[in-house]
Amino acid sequence: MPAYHQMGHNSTNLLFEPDLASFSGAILSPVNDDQAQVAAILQRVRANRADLEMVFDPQLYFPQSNRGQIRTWPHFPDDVDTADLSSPAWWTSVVAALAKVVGSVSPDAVCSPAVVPRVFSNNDFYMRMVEVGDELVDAVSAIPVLQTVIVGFDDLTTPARPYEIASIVSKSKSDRVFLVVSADVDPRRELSDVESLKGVMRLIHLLESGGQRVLVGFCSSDMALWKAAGATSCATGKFFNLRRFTRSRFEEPSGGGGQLPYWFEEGVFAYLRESDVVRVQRAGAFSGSTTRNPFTGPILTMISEPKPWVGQGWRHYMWWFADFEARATKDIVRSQLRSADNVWRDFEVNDVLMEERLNDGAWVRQWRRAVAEYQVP
Amino acid sequence: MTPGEQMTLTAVAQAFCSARGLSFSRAAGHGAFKATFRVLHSDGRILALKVYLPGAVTQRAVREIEALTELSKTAHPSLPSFLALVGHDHGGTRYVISAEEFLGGGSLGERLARDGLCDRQEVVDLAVQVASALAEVAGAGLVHRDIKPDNLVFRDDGTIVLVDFGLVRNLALHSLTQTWLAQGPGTPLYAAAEQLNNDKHLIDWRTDQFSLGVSLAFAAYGHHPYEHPGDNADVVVGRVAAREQPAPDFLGWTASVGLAPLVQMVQPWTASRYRRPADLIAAWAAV
Repeated sequence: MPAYHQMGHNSTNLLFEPDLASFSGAILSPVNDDQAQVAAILQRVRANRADLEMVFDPQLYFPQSNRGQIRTWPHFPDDVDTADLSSPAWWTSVVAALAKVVGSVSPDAVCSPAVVPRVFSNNDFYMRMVEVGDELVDAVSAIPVLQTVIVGFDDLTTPARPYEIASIVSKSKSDRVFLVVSADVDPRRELSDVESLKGVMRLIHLLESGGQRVLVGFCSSDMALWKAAGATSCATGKFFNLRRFTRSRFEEPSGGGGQLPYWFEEGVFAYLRESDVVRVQRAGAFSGSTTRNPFTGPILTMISEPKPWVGQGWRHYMWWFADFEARATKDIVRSQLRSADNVWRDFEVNDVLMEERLNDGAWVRQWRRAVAEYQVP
Repeated sequence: MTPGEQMTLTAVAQAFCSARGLSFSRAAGHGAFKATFRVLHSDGRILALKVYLPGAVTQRAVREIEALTELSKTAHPSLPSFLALVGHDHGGTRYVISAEEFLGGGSLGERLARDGLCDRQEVVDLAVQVASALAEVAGAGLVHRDIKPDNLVFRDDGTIVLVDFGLVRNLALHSLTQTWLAQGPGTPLYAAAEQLNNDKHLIDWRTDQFSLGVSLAFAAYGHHPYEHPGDNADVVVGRVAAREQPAPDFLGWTASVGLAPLVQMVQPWTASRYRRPADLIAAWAAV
């Protein structure tokens, strides 16, 4: 199923760009926009892109965070610093407030509220989040509720853990899951622990096999793995060529400037800096997807002039994401990763070295292992 | 229950029948805390009269009665009809007595001991009936937790009925099982891993699904799905608790006879079983 646009800072215009029209929905962010702004976005979408499913994510992930517009929203409790966040009564009040917001904003679907716990190994956390999700299902009957499931990447290293989490999550009244993978990985670094990758993939596979459609949020190129595991949809935003779902994402200033431009190249399954784009092009390693990408030509021209191309880089990445998300079966992902692994091997042999020292394709082999092994008991 | 206690409860039942115009027929069985008697109502109905030992009406018994009262409202053919709950004074002691529909066809366990294994169609019919009953039980937020051939009893017309809700768990109420216990309540040979390991957070209707799957496997295959050649019951229970996979022989048998739903019913993790009762019913209907 087509991809979702994870809305971020100043990203509304991307919803309406003809070359990014293959996204099938968007996840609204109350961190970046206040209630009036979200209402305006919805109005504009319904007038111009009525086919988009607009999903409201309440984004209570880090309630002590003071980021962006989140504290202006009625569903954001004003007692987060003193409240007992394990209290069912506290969550009931959050759900009631969120139901009112949903009634007022009128999205097409809503994610259940959830916080990021201190540790992910406690099953009570998942039980409570499912109870909260079920309360929201009862409170919001007019639109679908996506059960939010936040998993710790490092918590999924043991083979049994995804089964245990899936056994709890599958109790949910909702047939849709919004999966968020929380990982302590530096910006620009790929998730590469094989056992954890296999754990996330197993979890996705189990939920989908049980009839719960999984939308994985806050994805980067790791989307390929989640799709290989059977995820119905994945979501990304323009910043996810650099960032992950981390606490810092919710604590940093929200300005969009100061970034280096990056290019995602399917041929090596890697993000490339400007000089590396040229290097990979000279090596003849651009993929067919890159050739088809409508932003490839303009960026190459900008590089040659030279001109800044951060914004075009976002678009280039998002076009690739939606394109690959729509065609990524397990076989295609396996094949593409194998091909990228071979290219990196050739680069090594021929001294084609990336500007970033850690950009050596090492994760591609780990990803291949994850795809090959995640269903092996 | 001691023979003396059985005699006392028999006397209580006889006195109760005499006082209420019922016709006492015979003893029909007993458990640790209650005895069951067959009695005849003046309107022709045959009833199961259950007399509880004094002090035996624990929280579990209360929950059983509450569950039966709730499930009776469904009038589902594969769930028992609960008729009444009364107090009765006898010999200066207050006894609690419940009246239910009497099921005269014997249990599935007795049927298997008497006639041998069920054929494929019998198993499918049983599965469809009990799966439908489980949908009602799950819909009421209840988990039976002790499904086994002895708790699947036939009416005279051949309808199978799920009985004995003595271990019923109401998921909306706090659990009566202590977290520190190594094993939760249930009959180990039919229990799912989450019961055997007292994983209370994983208990739901799919726990009953597992036990039904094991019961149906015994009915059609004659062995536990996790039984390897040479295993005794303790070893089998250990395999289930350790969340091994069903035995290769069982998997081969289900494939050969076309009873694939049994495999999914007895998966070690609830996430791998049928998620909704409707999914289970549909799977059996498609066999």
